[in-house]
Amino acid sequence: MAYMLDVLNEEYDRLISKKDFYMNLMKNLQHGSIQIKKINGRKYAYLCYREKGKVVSKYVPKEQLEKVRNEILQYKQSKTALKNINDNLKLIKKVL
Amino acid sequence: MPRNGQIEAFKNMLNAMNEANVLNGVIIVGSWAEYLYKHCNLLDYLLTMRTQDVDVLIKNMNKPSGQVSKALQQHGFIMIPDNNGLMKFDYLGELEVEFLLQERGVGQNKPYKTALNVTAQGLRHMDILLEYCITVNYNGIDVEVPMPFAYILHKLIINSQRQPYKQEKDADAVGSLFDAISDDVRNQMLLVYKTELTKKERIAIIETCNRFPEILEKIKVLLLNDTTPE
Repeated sequence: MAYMLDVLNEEYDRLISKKDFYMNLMKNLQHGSIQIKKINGRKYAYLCYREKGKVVSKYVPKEQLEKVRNEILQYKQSKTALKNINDNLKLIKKVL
Repeated sequence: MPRNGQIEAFKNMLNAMNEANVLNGVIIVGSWAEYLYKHCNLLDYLLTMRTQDVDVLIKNMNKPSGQVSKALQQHGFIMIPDNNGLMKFDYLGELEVEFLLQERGVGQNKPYKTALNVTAQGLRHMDILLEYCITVNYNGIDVEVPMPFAYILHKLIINSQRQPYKQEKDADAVGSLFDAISDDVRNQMLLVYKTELTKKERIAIIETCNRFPEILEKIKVLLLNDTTPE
């Protein structure tokens, strides 16, 4: 079972490069949540997120709504992935 | 043993491919095939170590056609392309799916585009996995895996091409699998070894057995001490 350390080392390297990938991906994704506001009887979508402690609200044109929603989802998935990757890295570090 | 998150991710992958109607065009190979052997009660044996990647062998690059990339992404996988154009799909940092294909002729350095709308890495010596596969039912989904004896022979053939530590890991896995297969299956393995493999492949197998005599001697004995006529 001497190969176990090599397997873990390879896994470690792979997790590090995956971590880099997700960190870069998140830089280019919208995050926050979509809120629908009713103004003069019409519905408008806004992207709401926090920036330096302040809540920012940005109008999202109808044609971009689907794309922004997908990006928000991908951002959340990436955040979970990063958490899992960090947990696995911690575990491997302990063993190594 | 795979962790719960990995198993959920694996199920998710199968669901995505099932919804895309492409599961009959692929075979689960690599260490996740071993997981299926055990969990679908095909073999009773102790699983060896598992890493995070699932290897999916595409039977034919031209059919069936399907939107696997889209289906996986709809199920929460994120596509991670490498510099060479090979697509990998990651699920929340827990599991990575990669597609493989039998390399034919002169081959090529870059990945192959397939009708499944994913790119696949071409590898040699996959014939035996394509030829001898079996369907198992996992969580209500029919999935194809190589027959255990084909899996063993394939791992023995490619062993010298693997990194040294992977050679040892594979030898361990193959040794455990061999202990778990019945005499009938061993005879089938012997028959395929004698009649279907090329001379080069047979030599590669015996060389692998010689490299790990403590684990693989029993396989060598089966393959070389046979007295039945060819």
